[in-house]
Amino acid sequence: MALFCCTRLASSSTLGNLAKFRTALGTVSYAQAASIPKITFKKFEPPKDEHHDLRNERLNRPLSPHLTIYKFQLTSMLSITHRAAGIILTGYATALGMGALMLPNDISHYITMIEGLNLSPATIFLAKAAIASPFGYHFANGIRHLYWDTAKGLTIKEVYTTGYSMLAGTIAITLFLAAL
Amino acid sequence: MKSFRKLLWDKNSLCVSLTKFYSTEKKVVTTKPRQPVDPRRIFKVYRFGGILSKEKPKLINYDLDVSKCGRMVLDALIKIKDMDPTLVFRRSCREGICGSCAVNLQGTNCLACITPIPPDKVITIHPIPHMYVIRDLVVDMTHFFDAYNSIRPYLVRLNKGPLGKYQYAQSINDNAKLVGLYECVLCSCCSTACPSYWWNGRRFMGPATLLHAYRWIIDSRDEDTEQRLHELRDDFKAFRCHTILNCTLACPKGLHPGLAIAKLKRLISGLDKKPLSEINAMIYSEPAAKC
Repeated sequence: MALFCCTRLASSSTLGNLAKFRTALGTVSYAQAASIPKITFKKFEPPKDEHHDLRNERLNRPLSPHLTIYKFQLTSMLSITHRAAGIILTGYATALGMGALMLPNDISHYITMIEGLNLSPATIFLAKAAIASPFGYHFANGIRHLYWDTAKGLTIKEVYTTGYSMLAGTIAITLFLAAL
Repeated sequence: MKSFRKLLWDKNSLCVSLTKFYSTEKKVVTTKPRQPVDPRRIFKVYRFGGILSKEKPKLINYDLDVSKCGRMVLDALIKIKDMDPTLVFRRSCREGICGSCAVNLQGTNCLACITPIPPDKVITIHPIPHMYVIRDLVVDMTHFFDAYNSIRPYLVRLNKGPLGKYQYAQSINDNAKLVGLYECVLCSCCSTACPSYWWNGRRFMGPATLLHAYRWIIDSRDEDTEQRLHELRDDFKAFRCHTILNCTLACPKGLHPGLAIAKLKRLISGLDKKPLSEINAMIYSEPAAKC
């Protein structure tokens, strides 16, 4: 009686059907594995030497932000100002040189022209200070750079101390030159 | 009991003062905060989905309660990854020795695992500057390591025998010269902080590599100094350094690449000569001597 019921259950129950279905599938996959699988061969190509920038440009990778996010520190700010002052001084030298070559009149003529503007002494002093400031800064920072070339004064504390004293020296030189 | 505690306290103050005396130049001045900062912070993290995502990089805001995670920035990043599993960053040792987790925090480079979360309301995390971004905070460091390999960062002896046969001796003073140079973990915080490396990263070696070049040049056991200095002699490899000194400010290990490069420049240009080693490196390994 029990055995009869079990067989009836096995033939009609969903679980029994599922079990039959799964075993059917299993036999199918085994049959496929028994056949020889398809293997393809490709000749080995060593990776091409590509320049770092070319490879990354080809991959369209973005560059991580630098100037836009990096903190402004005294070290980098003083360094870039040194370069900017140097460029301005080069501009002065070029202007003076080209002016001496190209301009029709003597320099005294142009100084007379500026005197003719009748500017107040304060304005003249400020203008002279503005023109002399790149020179004062580049000169003072230049001494600091020459000191660094002896591999001395490079600790962070010394860099900051000499940095601030260099700025004081810049103001002193600029005011001295403007007062001449 | 009281005297015992006083002795401990005195000993502690002696230890504290000795530690302060012998510590490296980066002295952390601990200041008590005026008022306790609200632990609920906003983390702005640079996100980029990778080249296949076709999206532009952007800054995503994450609200995080820092009292619920560890003290360091890496702990905060891991907590953010719990919130957003798509965030990707490099990390390994969590103690500042592997150099994997270099990030740009609030505008300066640091190692995330040893940098405490700063007491600011908004904390910005970018990948290290001017490097190609692979994904989120992971960057392509290939050219950095290529430059490091190019300086031959290994000991070179002229008459070397089979590898491992000889011991090369070094006096204590000569070994002390390597302090502050061998500790570099190649995290590239310094190199990626240097504007000169930003503009000339392919030809300029960068502060980290130059620090290591100096480390091998002044090693008393190394005999290839002339060739090493000769290889650095062009306009770009070492002399693109303009003593900007962003590198020394950025180094998370407290090392001084700027000073090492200044000394290296003097050696390359011939103003200084490498001092002779104090002891003969082969005195304990003479070929005739038995082990």
